[in-house]
Amino acid sequence: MPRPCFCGMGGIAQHSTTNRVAQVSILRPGRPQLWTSFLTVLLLFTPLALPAQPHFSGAKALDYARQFVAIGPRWPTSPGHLKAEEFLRNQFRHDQLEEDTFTANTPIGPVAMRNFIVRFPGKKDGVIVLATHYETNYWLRNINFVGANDGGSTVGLLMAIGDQLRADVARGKALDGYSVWLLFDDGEESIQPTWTTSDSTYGTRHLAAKWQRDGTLGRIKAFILADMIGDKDLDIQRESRSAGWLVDLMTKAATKFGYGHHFFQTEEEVEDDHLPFVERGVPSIDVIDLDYGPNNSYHHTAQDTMDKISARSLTIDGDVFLETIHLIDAR
Amino acid sequence: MRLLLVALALTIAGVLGRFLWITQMRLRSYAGTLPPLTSEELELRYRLSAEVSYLSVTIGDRSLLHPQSLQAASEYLSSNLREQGYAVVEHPYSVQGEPVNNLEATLPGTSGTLGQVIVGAHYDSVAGTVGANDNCTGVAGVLEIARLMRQMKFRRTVRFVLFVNEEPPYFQTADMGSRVYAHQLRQDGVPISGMISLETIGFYSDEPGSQKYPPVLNLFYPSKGNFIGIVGNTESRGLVRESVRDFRESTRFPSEGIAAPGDWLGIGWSDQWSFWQEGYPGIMVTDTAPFRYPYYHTPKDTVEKVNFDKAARVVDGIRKLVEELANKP
Repeated sequence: MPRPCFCGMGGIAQHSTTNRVAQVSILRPGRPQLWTSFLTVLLLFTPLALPAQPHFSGAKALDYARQFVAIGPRWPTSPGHLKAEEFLRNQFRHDQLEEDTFTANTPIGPVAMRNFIVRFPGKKDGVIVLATHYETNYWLRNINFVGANDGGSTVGLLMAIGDQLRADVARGKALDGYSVWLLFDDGEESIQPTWTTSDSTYGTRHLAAKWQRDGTLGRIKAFILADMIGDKDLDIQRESRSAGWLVDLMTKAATKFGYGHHFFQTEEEVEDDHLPFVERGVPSIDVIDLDYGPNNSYHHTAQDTMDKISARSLTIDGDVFLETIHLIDAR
Repeated sequence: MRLLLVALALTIAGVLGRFLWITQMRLRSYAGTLPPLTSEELELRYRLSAEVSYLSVTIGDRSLLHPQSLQAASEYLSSNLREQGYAVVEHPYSVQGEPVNNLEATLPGTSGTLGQVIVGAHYDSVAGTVGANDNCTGVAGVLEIARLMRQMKFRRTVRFVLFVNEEPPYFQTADMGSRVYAHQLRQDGVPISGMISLETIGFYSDEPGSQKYPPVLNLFYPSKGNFIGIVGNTESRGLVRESVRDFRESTRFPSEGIAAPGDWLGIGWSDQWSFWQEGYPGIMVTDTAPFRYPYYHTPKDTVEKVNFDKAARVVDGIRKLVEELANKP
């Protein structure tokens, strides 16, 4: 997990939406019961009238997360980190998997790090990247910090999304839209307790620079970062530097499933893995719930455990991510 | 006068011949451009880096001044080898009332009667240092060679051993980890065909004059510290020459060898010395440590000084010579 940016923090509350007010205004005096009954019936039967769309399996994502988090702490250089790598390698062994190994210059010296990129080809020219970091914090190495939500949940999410993409590719030789790449990046967390721009986001800084050099960046239509969104109490903020059109598309996707109230009710600026891409002009969005536990009290503590995340939240995430991909494809 | 000149000439020729006998090895040291790292070497570089960082940064000083750190290192190394599928045997002994461990993982050979091969490194550090190059690099090298050889079969049994207490004040004393271990091997009548000690293998320089030597040897060796050294005593000359040949045949990396009297400066400065004391042949594979590395035995012996690109090439080359030795009839 990233750090909230306190410089220019918006904190715009949008709990009372104008849409809700507009709906109330069409209710005419004298006929409220009839209208209410009509709307109730409409709400009850409308989903049945739509084409059936199976939900994403949050349970499967949760199971992946559980297996991954069971490895234990996985901070850079630790034995757990090597096990986490092996877990990812094994999961994607039959896919187009690239291991992007590099050495990060950190406050504790050079540290070996590794990004994992899994490519699912699409018929359209262009790439949508779904990203999460997978390591835990070096500076929390002595408190058995396992990052169930922070890293673990989104690794499970992307693995389950990978299952779906794999099946889609198998059916049609390629995805109907853009290629989708899953990025499991290393070294998002700072090595020292104090987050700085030079001591954080090692994996994405390395990869964004590399992809800039080799021209890959120009092919990326959207960079979608998932962070800390397994939280049972799902409350995804609108991250200020995320691309507006991506926020709009994701809002549309969430609304389609009736998940709108979980998304973008407040705004916050967050320093996270999307920034190396934002800074290079790649349309990016940080999908993050930086409100984890009472007053964010589980964040970066030994309290970040599996009991705090839910299949329900991961279902919501998966549904919205996949729908957002479709909306980007159709754009 | 003529007799005197003849005697002088013969003496010079004898001395020169003696030095050539000590310093000249089979095949030539690789002198070309280093090729790109192979995918196996890239993986090695990564893993060596993680292991050296863990030992030198996370654990740090691994001397008996910090017995808990020494124990943490022992536990980490045991765990690493166990995860590779080895049954790790701890060989505990006590030093000034403090328990310490040598660690051993064995890859059984297909022929039980042949002399065994030992690949070892010391995992302690000089007190007050974290010993990234001396000797986390050697230890990581042993771990990686053990990993790479794990799924293969060899004629000879190979023991991967990590020694405690190589550094002063235990160096070349009865409390030195490898001394205790080698002595026990002799007591048990275990035949050993060769011991290979990985000692400080991570520092390289292409600067002219970066390599220093004990007196006279500079006449026979390069001035650039860009090679790996394979060092043995006179009794281990056959092993030294075979190892240099195998390394040069398989690995495109500069290498030099020497088989000199064991009491020459620097020749016995690692765990192979303990095996010599028991009559076993042994060699040290090293970047030459104090003769090249400016941070030797100082608090500045830290992970950023290690050249993992080159260490990966060297470890892969050592692996190949170990495999040759382990398959020797």
